[in-house]
Amino acid sequence: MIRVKNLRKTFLTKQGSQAAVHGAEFDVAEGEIFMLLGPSGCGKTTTLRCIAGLETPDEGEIWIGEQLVFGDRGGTLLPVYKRGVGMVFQSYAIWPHLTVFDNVAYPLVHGIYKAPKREVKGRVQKALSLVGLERFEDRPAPLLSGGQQQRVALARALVYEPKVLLLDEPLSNLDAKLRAEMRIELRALMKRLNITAIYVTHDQEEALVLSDRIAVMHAGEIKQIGTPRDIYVKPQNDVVAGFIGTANLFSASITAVPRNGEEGSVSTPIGALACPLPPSVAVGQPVTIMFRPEDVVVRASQAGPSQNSLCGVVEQAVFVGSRLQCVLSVQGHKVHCEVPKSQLVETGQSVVVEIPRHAIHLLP
Amino acid sequence: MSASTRRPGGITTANALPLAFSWLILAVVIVLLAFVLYMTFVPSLPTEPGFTLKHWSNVASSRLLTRVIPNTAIVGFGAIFVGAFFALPMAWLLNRTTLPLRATFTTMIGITPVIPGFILAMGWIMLLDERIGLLNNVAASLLGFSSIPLSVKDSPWGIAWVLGLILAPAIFFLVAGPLCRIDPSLEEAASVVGMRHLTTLRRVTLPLVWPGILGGLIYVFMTAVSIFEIPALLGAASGKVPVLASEIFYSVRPGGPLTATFAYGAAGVYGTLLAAPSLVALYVYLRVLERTERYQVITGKGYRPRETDLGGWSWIGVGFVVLYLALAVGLPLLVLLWASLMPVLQMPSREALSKLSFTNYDGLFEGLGGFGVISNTVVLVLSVSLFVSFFSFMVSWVVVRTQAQSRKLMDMLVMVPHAIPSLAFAFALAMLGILASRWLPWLPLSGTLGIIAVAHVINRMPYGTRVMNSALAQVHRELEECAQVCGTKTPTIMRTIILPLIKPSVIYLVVWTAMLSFQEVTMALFLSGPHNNVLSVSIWVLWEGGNLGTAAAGAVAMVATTGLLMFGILRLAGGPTAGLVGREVGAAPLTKSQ
Amino acid sequence: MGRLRKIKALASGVIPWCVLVVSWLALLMPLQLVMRPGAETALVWEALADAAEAPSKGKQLLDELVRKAKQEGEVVATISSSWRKTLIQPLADTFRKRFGLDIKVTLANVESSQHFAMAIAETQAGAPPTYDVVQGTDSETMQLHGGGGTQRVENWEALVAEINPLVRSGKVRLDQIGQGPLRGQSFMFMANVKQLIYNTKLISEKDLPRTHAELGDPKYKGKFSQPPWTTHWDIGPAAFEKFNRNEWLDVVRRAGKNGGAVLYESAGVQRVVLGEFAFVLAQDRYMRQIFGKDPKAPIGYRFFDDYNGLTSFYHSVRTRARHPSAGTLFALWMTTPEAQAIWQPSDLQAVPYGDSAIDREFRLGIEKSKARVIGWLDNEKALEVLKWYGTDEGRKYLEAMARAIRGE
Ligand SMILES: Nc1ncnc2c1ncn2[C@@H]1O[C@H](COP(=O)(O)OP(=O)(O)O)[C@@H](O)[C@H]1O
Ligand SMILES: [Mg+2]
Repeated sequence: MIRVKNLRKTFLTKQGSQAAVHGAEFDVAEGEIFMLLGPSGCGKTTTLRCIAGLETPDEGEIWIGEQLVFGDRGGTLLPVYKRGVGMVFQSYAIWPHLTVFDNVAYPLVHGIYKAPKREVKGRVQKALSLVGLERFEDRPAPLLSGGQQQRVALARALVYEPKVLLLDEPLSNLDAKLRAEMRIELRALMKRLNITAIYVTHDQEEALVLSDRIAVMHAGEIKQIGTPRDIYVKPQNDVVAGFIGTANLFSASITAVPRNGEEGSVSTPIGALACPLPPSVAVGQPVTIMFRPEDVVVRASQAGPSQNSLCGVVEQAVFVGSRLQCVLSVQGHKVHCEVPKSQLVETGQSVVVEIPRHAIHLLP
Repeated sequence: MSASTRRPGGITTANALPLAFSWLILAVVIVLLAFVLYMTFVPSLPTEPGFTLKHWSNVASSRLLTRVIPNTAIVGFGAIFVGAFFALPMAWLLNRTTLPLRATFTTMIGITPVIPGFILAMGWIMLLDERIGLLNNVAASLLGFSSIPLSVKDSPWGIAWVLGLILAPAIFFLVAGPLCRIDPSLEEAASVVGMRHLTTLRRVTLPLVWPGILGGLIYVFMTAVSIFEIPALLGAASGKVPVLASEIFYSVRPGGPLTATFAYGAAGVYGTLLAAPSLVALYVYLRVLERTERYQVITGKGYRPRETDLGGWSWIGVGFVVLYLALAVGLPLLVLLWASLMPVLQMPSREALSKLSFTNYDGLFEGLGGFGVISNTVVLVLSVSLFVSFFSFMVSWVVVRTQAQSRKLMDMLVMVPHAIPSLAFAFALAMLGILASRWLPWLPLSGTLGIIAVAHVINRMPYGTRVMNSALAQVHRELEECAQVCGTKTPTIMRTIILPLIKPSVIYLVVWTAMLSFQEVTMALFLSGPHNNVLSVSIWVLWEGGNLGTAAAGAVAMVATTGLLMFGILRLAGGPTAGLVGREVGAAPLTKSQ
Repeated sequence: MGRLRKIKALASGVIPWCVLVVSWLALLMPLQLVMRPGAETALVWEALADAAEAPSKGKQLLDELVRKAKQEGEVVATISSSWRKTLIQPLADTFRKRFGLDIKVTLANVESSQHFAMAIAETQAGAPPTYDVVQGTDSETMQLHGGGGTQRVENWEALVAEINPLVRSGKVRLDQIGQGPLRGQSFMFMANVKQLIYNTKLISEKDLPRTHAELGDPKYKGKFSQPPWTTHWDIGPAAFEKFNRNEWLDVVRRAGKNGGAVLYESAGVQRVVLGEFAFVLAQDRYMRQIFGKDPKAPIGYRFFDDYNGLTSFYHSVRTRARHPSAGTLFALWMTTPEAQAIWQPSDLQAVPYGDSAIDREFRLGIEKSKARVIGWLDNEKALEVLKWYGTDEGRKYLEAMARAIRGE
């Protein structure tokens, strides 16, 4: 539905040129919720604005549906208003001089999505009821709360039933609780309407909950594209691993490759670990291993012989309600882990750490 | 077909329209400027052959450095100081507080430019003069002195005082727009942080309207140093307080019996000299504006201007506004009325009172030129304010809201006409009109209302773009972009989103431009032909012909009608207060609770 | 309706009028011969002799001009910027009626000092002039004439005699209407003379300066105002037998430094009335204006003993004028008492050859005070000076004089 090829955009500022996006490439399938995730300033908004047509890229191609909306060869540039996308802005961009109804009705009254007069009211009401704002039609837009404004912005973007919806951190202005609720609601809504969406966020939790696929961006580049599960479980590089959830990352070198049913193993700063290795690796090759805190098992003492057991000391333990988040020191290196709240862990306590073999993931 | 070609500098077709209109108006500006510059190298008339540098060499004199420039600086900065002293507090009082009678006060401030400058100058001479000043005489008899040597005459400070009073409304209107549109959450945030009102004003509100204020001050400075008639009446003409404007006037019209030796080129030279410092100031201004993002205070998150309830202090506020109005409106209006009721202007006395009569009002309508002149004036004023608003909007759009590479150049260029003395400008335009009537006889320029309209439009563009720049800079970019995404093209967006959002500024601009065009004499007089007489010229001609009484009666009529008109317009537009965005929206429930 | 009436008036007015003119001319002819001395006589005699042939030549010429004017259908002319706009309608109406014209007449208040530069530029650019007829002072008109901007009126003597009853009756000589180089080009119709206007409460007549040089006397320090233009001084060189340019400039400068203000004459007069200044260098019209409005106003006037400048005003038909015939008719008609009777009561400037109360008072005032009045076209010497001002050197001198007025 949306195809972005080799997108490049450089801003010229007084300090020099700033490459906001370089070489972004992705496809978004119809009905998919595609997430652009990355730290602030990594070029997410710029990418989104390029797709919407609000920025003109320096290079690359952008397709929406079957139409080439931007191409550096042949100099194609479809103006914003013809691109048929809906967009929710980070600031919501609610027009303060209009009522809620007028805000939502705007696309149907002016411009190329103009609808016959008699349809407008019905469609606006439908859009408002989609976002649960039926009773606010006549309210002047400035008198809405943040959450309500966000809904108005969404209703306005949906009212003309665009093929594609672009959302730029739509939930970032809401408080935590509302944000959590809205995530679920938003996803349900988009799925119900079978909308193709590109969603920009810097909140990894939001990305994981909401999306079908995630593209992790960093410094203007897309580092990995995959399902939330893939991204979480099998990050392709340390940047992705580090950005999504908490990751324990160690550089390692391969000491044994898997052969004849035997397992491979690596040596790491915290000790030798057995782990699944792809067949392509060779002994001595430097790699990075990664495992998630929740996969780490912490015991007060050694409970029989087991693989990948290491000794460590609890440096820090924080109770976060459902569980304890701990930082251990193993061979002088920090290891993040989580233990059930039932387990008693104290700072300074010596513990045994077990890293299950299959929890270890090798970064290429 | 649906796709269009990409152009460098990030210009998309969305901006093609404003860009085209901007260059259209700027082309006119450039042609005129080029012509003015060309004239500086021509001995007298551009139709005669010859090349000379004498206009340039004549300018260099030690007098210029030792007297003219210091005087001009005092007049310019003094006028700014006086103007800002009155205008800034008033802008805040009348736009962001619950002061009573705001609409009336605002209207009265709007009327000030209609009062002819020569009346104001006369009024101040009648008030403050060592020999005849009313204030001097009252004070002298109270204090027991024979006379009090205080006078507005023959001192740059006196000129600055009168000019400052006249120009305060310009600052007022430049600041009022932005002030109404500040996102109150910014101010509220400040008060939450614990700032007191005054601190909020100083630390938050003031910095937010700073571009508007700065733009206004630069504009007022340039205006103050280019006004001729008031300094002339107050001592510049006699060489006691020479200022640049009077130097220009007399270098252009040496005053001999030979008309064609008028050195209009000299005006261009002085214009260049005036333009240089102004452009430096402008550059500074643009640097401030570069941080435009900082000043985008209309965000899409909703806002309502907050009005401070002054409580018991509001009487001090009212007193302040009334003081200004008394000095800048009341006094000249009184003088005007007095002059219009006297057969021959005299100082008030028992004898003078016995001479009061309405004879000056007899046949006034015909005396001013009757219906023809009135309709000319209406057409001129309306078209000028329409075109100025339109073109300013377009230029400011390009300057503030696009990435067009030429935008800074445009912003500078559009400001230059302000530095060119109107006399030189009018002359250049008249000459072009003559040449046009020779080569393009179908172009109705020479001697038409159109040529005055062109002169006024170009002359008011600097002001218009200042207003529009600061208004547009405050509208968050995403409000416009969202409308684009919603499928509308730039013209529709301008009409349905941007214009309503900056409505207060637009109304101010329209009204104010109309007022200034209504009152302008120099150019309208110069460009007048058989069919384009306007009211201001009629009144000026009456005055200059020695008919002060009739001229004053005309001015009274003019002030009265425009005052009523403006009152009506502002009422229709929802009033200077209610018309403001957000206020009508946010009005009842929330503002009252404060 | 209005049109119908006009036609009727036309029909009834024209025919008896022709009869009258012819008979009158025949009657007056011998008288004219006797009265006219000097070089003028021959010309007038010729013209009148022609006119005497039946139907007279003047009549023929006029009829021809009127016919052409009707074809042209319009005339656009300037009037003094100080004339009331209420004069426009009666002037236009009376002019039309006088010649039975049913054409559009547009009269505009125009400041001649500004417009003449444009008019010269129009001529130089070869553009059609904005106005068919322009009015301006002697020196301005001389310049326009020098720049080729005015059109000669052929047979003007016969035409003026035909149109202006004062000329026809011999009361006015042709050289009073067309002087010097402007003969046949431009037609004088009013004039003013410079003088001192003073506030009788602040200074008495005997304390006023007698000569221009006395303006530099310290006792007048700050007491008077003068206009920024050089008209009060520039004719000085023509007024004195022995004349030194630099000394004259010093006189001007001393007066400039001594003065209280430099203001337009109208503003200066106002401030004398207000009591701010004791006297002002101005022209006679302001005096009449103020007395007209307030006979008790505390002001008086006095001429200088050394000289007093006379400014005469002329109408000229422009080169390439779109309506030259109608323009000619207008320019000539403006010299008549008929026109004068319309504009003079409100403008109050004198017609030097006229016969109204103002005109007589104007001449009497000058005569009684034995004031020496000189104009640019009066004598060869003044004309020489005017010409010299056109040279580079003269121009510089004028500029220096203008600066000296402001005390520089
Ligand atoms: N209009 C602009 N001019 C100059 N630099 C910009 C502009 N917009 C964005 N940038 C820069 O480009 C980079 C990417 O910005 P953006 O796409 O907004 O990041 P994100 O949305 O991921 O936080 C940032 O470093 C930002 O400073
Ligand atoms: Mg962003």
